Amino acid sequence: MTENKAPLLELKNVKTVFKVRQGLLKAVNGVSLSLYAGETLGLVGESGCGKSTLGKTIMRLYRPQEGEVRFEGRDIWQYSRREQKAYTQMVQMIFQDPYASLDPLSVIGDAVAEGLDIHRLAGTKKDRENNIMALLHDVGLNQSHVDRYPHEFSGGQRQRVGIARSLSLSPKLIVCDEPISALDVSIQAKVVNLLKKLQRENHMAYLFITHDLSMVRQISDRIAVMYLGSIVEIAPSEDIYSKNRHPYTRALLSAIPIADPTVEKSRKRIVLSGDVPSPVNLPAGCPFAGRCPYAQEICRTSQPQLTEMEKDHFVACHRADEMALME
Amino acid sequence: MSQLPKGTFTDADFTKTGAEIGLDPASSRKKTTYWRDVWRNFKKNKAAYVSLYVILLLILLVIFGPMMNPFDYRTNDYTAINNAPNTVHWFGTDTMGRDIWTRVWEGGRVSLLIALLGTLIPEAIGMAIGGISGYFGGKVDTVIMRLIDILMGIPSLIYMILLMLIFGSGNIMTLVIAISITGWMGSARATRGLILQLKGRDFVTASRTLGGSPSWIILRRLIPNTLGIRVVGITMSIPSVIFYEAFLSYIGLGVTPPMPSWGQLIKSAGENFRYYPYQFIIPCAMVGITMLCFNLIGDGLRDALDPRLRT
Amino acid sequence: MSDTILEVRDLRVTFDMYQGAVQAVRGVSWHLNRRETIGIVGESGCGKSVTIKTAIGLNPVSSGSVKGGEVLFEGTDILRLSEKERRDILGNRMSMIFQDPFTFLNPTMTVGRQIMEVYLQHHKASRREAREKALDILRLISLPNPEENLKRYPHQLSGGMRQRIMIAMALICEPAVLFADEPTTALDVTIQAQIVDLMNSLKEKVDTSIVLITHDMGVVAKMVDRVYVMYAGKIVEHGEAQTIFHHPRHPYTWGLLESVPRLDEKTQDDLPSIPGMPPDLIAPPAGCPFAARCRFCMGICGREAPPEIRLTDPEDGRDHTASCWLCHPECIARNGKTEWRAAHD
Repeated sequence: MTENKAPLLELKNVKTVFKVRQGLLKAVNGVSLSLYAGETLGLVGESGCGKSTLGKTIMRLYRPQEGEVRFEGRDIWQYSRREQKAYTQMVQMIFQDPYASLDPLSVIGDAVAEGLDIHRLAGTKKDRENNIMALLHDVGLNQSHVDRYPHEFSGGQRQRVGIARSLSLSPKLIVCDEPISALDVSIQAKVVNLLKKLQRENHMAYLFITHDLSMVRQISDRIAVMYLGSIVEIAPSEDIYSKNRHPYTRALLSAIPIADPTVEKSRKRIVLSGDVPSPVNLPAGCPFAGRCPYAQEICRTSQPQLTEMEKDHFVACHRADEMALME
Repeated sequence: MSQLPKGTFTDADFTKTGAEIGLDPASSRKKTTYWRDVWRNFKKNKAAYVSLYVILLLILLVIFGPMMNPFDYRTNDYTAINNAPNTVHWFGTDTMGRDIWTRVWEGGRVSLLIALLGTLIPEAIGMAIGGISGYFGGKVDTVIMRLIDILMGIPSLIYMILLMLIFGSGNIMTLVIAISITGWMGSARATRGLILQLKGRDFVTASRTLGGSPSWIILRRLIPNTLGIRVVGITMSIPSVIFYEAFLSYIGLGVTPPMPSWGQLIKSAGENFRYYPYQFIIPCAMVGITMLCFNLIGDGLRDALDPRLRT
Repeated sequence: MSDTILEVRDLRVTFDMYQGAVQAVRGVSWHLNRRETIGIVGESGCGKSVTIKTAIGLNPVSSGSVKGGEVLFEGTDILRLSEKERRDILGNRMSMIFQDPFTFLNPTMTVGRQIMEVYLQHHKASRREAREKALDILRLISLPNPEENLKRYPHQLSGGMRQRIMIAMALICEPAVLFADEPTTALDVTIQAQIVDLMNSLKEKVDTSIVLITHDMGVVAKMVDRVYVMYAGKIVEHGEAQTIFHHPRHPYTWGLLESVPRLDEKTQDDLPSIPGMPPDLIAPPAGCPFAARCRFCMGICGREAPPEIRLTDPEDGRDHTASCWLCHPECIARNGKTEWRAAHD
């Protein structure tokens, strides 16, 4: 699906950097990727890998130090005032913590309608009311709860309110920043199902940021794995699980426990030692070299680039060819 | 399986009916709003609850007290000088024969009005400036904060005296302006601190991603969320303004006689305290009770608003 | 049952709220054997955390919220101990690790001092001995550079390291029982794997039994010997891990297991999930608490709460109980081994 179509969103060598006391923190360190209309790209990585920063860079909350973020071909940092406002309608965000993402003083009807109010899209009171009711219905919330406060709801319900709010402006892209990781497993499934249903109905694209490789598979068309600010592997969803080539992808997958004691006992696992290094003083060479069980001399000296190994399957690893043979 | 009761079951008992998914729990619970919750917790604090009624009573007396007897606050009656409290003059009379009941409530009007305006006006100014400073951060923040540092370094009495010279001492508005000019800085700092905490919260980011302008975010999201916490500070600062007014009157910078205020009453009665203690004690008690009650209310509010105590 | 180290009997806990009394735990019984790991699983709000907090004595009977039951630790009822006696046990014979280590570590003290203080609170020892002990325990949990790390402050450590420090603090007095409340939920998967391995190895190294609370069925599969499934303040199913995963009998357990996507299985169009929401425990339903959400709900389910039914385990004949009318002999006599049961065998 990647050819012949102009991407909806295109990142070119994006670097987002923060000044910290010890130096420069390279949260996003040269990421290039494309996202097409109506597709879901899963962005997976551990905490501190820069995935949320990347999401917020796309939301125009952080300005990248280098590189470009293009939406429908236009650089989002070259926007005029009016374009900026239009951008906030086309691109929306769903947040991780359903307790922090709703204003405790706004009833959920007002929370859902915030976008409509800001952009003055509801002409009359009746319009606004109808809009809110339709949105609550779409996300499966009881419409009689429109004048209740967030603290009366469970985490899953609040997340639905957040989803309704992001839908209110009919966006073309929704950045979902760990939308399910604060929820119970059975609720996670419901929220993922809801997001899939909404995508079928409204055809928007998702950038689905998560650390959970088991849930992201249920919703993504393609998955990108991120480590220390760089994308190490990006491929169609099933390839990540069956034909993965990056040692980090493999380690991530093998670290996820399977809900079956028999399988779990017989499973061979790659246990990574140590922690993710600090993104302040990035090592030269491959960012994963320090923890990689397959690292060689070259990995410590030169940084591997994303290379297309198969159709649409990109890997940034010096030993990607051999990795295909190693199971 | 022997422990199972050998009940009598019917076939219908074991016929599949499928789930009847009920309403979710939130709809069956009593509806509570944030403020209703706060009120419920506030009522639990008996001292604060009683204080609230005492203050309401004081306000009623301040409004209607002077109408309750035929005297007014400035007419001298030399036939009744320094009368002790009696059935005609309920709180007695002062050295010029003026009715103290009337003067206390008239003075209360002045004191409470100054307290109220002298709290709300600087609070509003402080919130606006603190909100801007906290939300925009960076250079704006640095400039505003350094300015406050400098202004705070100057003793407030100096402003007072200067302002009195400019606007002329003795009227209520001068006092309110003087108190406002010195009072907004503390509130600006407190508001800025709260806003710095709040602006990183997801619901504020959500407003930004929805395209909310800075004024939308500050007015709709940030300020309302700081209010709950600032209310405590506001309540607690009322007593200090009352006291400040009394202090200024006492040193001669307050309202000018014959216009009474609690501070003014205390000052003039102080000279004769040894002979006519009731003239001194009554206004002192009013100041004391008001300060105590506002402090207790503030205390109760702080507990009621504390999110950790809310279930 | 002489091997039982901790036993909870018919525990009932209620919290008063404005809207009414929430019956958070409604008659829960379980036991823990020596050198065993049990898992208590269920969704948030099912009462699993409250059960544990009561079991370590954080909600004593005197607080008014515990309405009945007992918690027997080596034969003594913890709920009825005095404050001081309870403190002697807590942190010493029983200890706990929490979901978010950062909020439980003091940011102004080095982690070394915090570990040592736990030890000194319960033992008459010099600081030097405590320090030795702390180093031992850090080596035991294979923390790199223990000497170095003792001198650090919590904010200088990563999330995984902090969780290790919490574990060290919990283990320094060599407790008989270790409670772990969602110990890996806040951690990244690769770190989670390290912590799970560590906790598994501890059972052999230290003579400790573990009570694990989690909603992650994967972690349960990796760590746990026996499982208690909790729903709406009650235990609805209990059995060996193998049994619970391979032959679950309660429809809630089915739902719980189905809603977990498995890496070793293909994706489906829509993930199965349990419809509806748990009941409001201010006014718990008269019948089975799960009836309103259960695909297999029968006439009796809404009316009468199901008894705990003992089942024979098809694999080894060990303990397996489920509180569900579907398992009742009368039901089986009438409906036979119905298709929905077969589907889960």
